[in-house]
Amino acid sequence: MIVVKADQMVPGSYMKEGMVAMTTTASPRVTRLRNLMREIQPGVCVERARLFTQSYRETEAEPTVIRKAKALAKVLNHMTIYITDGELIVGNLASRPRWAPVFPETAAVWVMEQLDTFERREKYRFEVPEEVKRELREEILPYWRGKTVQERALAILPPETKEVFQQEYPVISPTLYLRNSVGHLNVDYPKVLRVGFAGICQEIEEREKALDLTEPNALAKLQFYQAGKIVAKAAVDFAHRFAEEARRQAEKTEDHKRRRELERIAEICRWVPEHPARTFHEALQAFWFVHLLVHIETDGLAESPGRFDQYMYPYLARDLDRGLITEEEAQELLDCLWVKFGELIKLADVPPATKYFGGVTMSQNLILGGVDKQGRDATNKLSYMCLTAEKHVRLDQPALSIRIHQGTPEEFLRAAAEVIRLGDGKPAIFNDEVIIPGLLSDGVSLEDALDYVIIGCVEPAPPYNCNGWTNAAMFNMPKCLELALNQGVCRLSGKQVGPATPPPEAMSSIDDVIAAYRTQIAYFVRHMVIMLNTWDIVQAEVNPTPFASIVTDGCIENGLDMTLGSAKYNFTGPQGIGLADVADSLAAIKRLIYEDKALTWDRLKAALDNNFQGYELVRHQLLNKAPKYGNDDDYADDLARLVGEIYCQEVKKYKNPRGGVYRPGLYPVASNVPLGRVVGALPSGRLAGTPLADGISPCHGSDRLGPTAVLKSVSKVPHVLATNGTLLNLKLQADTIAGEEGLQRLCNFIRAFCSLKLNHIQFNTVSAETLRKAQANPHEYRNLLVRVAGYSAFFVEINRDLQDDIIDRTEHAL
Amino acid sequence: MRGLVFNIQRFSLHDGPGVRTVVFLKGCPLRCRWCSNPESQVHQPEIMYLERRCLRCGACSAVCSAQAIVSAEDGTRVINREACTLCGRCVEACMPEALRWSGEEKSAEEVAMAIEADEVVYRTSGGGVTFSGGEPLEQAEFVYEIASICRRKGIHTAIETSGYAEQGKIAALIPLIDLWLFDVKHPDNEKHRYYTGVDNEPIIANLRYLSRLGVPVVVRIPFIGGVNADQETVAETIELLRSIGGVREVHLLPYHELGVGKYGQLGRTYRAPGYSVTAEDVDEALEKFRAAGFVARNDGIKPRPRQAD
Repeated sequence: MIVVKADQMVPGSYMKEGMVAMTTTASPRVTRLRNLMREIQPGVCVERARLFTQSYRETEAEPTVIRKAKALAKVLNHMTIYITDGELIVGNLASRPRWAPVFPETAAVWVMEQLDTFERREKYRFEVPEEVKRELREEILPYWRGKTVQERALAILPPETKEVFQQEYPVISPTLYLRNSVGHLNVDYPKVLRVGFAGICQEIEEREKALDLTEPNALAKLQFYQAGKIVAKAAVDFAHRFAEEARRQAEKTEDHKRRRELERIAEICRWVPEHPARTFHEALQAFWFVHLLVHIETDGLAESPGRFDQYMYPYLARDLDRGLITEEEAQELLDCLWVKFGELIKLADVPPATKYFGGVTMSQNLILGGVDKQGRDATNKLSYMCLTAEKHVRLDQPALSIRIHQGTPEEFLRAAAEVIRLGDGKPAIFNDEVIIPGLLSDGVSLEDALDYVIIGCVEPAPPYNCNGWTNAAMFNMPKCLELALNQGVCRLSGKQVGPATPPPEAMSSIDDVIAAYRTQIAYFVRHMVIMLNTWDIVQAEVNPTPFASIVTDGCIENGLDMTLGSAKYNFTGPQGIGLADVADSLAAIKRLIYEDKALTWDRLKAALDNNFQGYELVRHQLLNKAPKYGNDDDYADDLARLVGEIYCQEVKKYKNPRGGVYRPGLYPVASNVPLGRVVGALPSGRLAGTPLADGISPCHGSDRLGPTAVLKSVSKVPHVLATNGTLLNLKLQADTIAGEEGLQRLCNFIRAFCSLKLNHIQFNTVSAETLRKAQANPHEYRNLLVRVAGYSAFFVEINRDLQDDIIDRTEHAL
Repeated sequence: MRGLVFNIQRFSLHDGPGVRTVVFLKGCPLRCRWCSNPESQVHQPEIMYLERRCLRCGACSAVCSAQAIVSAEDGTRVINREACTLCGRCVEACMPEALRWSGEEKSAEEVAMAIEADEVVYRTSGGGVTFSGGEPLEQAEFVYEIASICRRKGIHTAIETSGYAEQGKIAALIPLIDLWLFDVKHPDNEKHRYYTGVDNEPIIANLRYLSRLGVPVVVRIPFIGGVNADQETVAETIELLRSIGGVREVHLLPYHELGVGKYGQLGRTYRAPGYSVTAEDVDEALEKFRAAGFVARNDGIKPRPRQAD
């Protein structure tokens, strides 16, 4: 067993600083369980697909929502369960840790296509036993032909939109919710802790009894309630299976201490999640079952624990008060849960999805601190303990975040800053003072807005009650600019793909250029909406999610599955990518062509057509003689604001079939690299095919005035309009945040971020040199975590070009 | 009024408390052999040539009416500084920014506006503005105007000075400058003159003057091997500071050669290579200062004005 300790791996004084600051270390149990997660080679587990398909074959005559419920129940009743030696929190996703189940109802087509390549991938490799391949190929996947969301949706997509969908160099990348389930939820964990599934069943039964079956909608509601009861019971039975397994292991073990632990686990799983949690340990276990079941129900990603420190704290406080648990014991339980977050993994869709997402991220976003429903600071002891769990475990999951506001205690900020400078890219920081008003503007109630959570990378959402479709699509804004400057013709394929806007030489001012850009944006946003609304209708038709629905506020009350719009809030959030590239391009055109007249359209077009080959001087002129976004210069920053506004205002015009509105975001996940591949040369001086700027960060290397100027520029982008989230990545030189002074500096910087009303910021603090070493010697650096986009990932496990992009991000001395 | 500024560097961390913006003013009466900002010395704008960025396109020579830029054999440029009229057309014509101005005339209001841009960061970090150079007191009136605006806006002000200036200029600025970062380069007048080109007597007199008035002063020593880093000179320096009284804090600025390349870019020669000190030398000296009752610290490497590459 090779275990590389984090502090050996990442040399540098800041590491030592971080270590000194740790007041406790992980227990041997936690260290062992944690290291196990890093040793296992992921694989594909067939059980879910097998059981789910068996059930579907048996229920063909029944309503879809009931079929879905029965299929989930069958999986939960028969899948392999295990309790790893030493575990205190139990519950597994597939037959082995870090093995991925298959979800044929959404993924049959791409799993079939990629069955032979999972184990040959360079990254995100999954082992697939021959027998599993055979069973999937011959017995399971054929059943789903023509039934998946993907096939059904593409079959009904209107022809013109279908053409846009099939473009070789697309503007829109909308496939996540076409080829997978939606996920991106923060379900009502506290409700299960409070009333248990027994309580939820009771609520369903009361609603059911109150139905007047002669009412036109009542029969659909009846079906949903039946499905709800099936999955609630299945959840309880599933926990009881773990109680049995724990009992069995307890009888077998010679180790007295472990026997007592297993007996305790058996008692706990016998009690929760059926009944209300009575202790911190029960609350953690009940939480985990709910979280796990959301993951077994669908292949959706980004299922957020949300404000874990808020809803779990009362259980901890009560146990500590009554002397039922020591702080050390509570910390170890929490650490054990932290390891479980790292155990979950899902199959990544490569190609084309990883082309856009740069890897598997489960994005289980857990957020600490922030204000409570009265607007007071809500940081508590558990908030600090979660930061400690992060220091102890240091896996890529959970995606840890903190909420800050003027009243965030300095002590909490310092504790978070200490975790940040470990270099893992966690926690990400969210600003209550921008996000709360943003949510209000989306029609969220004040109470829900104050209690917001983050979904996935950076998407703010009301808690426990929202089906937000927050990562619905990636929208390539620079591609629209390329088309606007080329009469709608793609520079890479030569085909007419967008509206025929006027040729640039006929544009007499920058306003004409912006008008053409706006036309392209409007055209593609419109088609994006048609696509996403099509997926939406089909998801509701074939892929209801009764389990997630009974733990989402609004669904039981409305008596419908959440895919039909029964959650309290319903959004669709597509992201605009490449803001800085468009802003810098417009700034260069405005300055050099229209104001200085130092460049002609003919020459610029020739340079772009030739990807600057033979036009090196033009490229330097564009790079050096025009203002650039990211330098606190209103000339370029105002254009960046305009670019943000154009996209956001266009997206906000539309509604989705669930009765909700479209919410624009400006963040990239990791798509800035692959989306760059489909964009030709730009007037910003960017070469064809190279990465776009990530999030609302400036283009790589164009921010020359340091991090405060970046903050100022970014603060001019319309954060309040981009309510589905914005992302700012800042790379800091590790040595400048070392020591007491460095820690203070980082805290001060975060306070400035808060005052400047930015949405989100995250830090990479590992030096470019270390990253290059990690590229050369991946094995030695296999525990090295970095911030990719809205999530952290093990550096050696991400694609090479994304690695290069991360190395390229401008490094600032702080 | 207008002054000659060669750089405004935001987010500076070693030029006073908190996060600061440093205003580098051009022109200096000293000629320290180790100077890492040679572009700061002359009192007029200069054109710098960065060979690494040069594409050898010849655009600069083509626009030069004085014919002051010629091509070397390898295509790189040679500027005849005597013939150059500083018209700046070559800088404009140079797309890759291999030719750049060092030194730009700016109004006090313009500079104050640039300082104000990071006001939020000063507030959260306890930072502010630091006037540096060159020798900022060479443009004391300009500093006075900018500092007056800063005072009005509640921005903390510091100055980094060689101390070589008429006392009247210092007196005028005392009410507007919150912190004086005051260089003491060598306690011995002879040697001071040898290494910097000027006497240290007026400097010491000015330091005494500030101390007597109880103005907050931090003494900064560019700590240089073979110049002032030996035990004996350290002891003399301590003696000198004690005799002045009033000084509590001493910062050592380690010598570095980050600025050597700029001499070539300005068509000048560097006269003092190899003055580096070891970390041990620094630690030992810090111990001595502390033993003598001073608050002493290593102030890291003074960041040079940022070059874009």
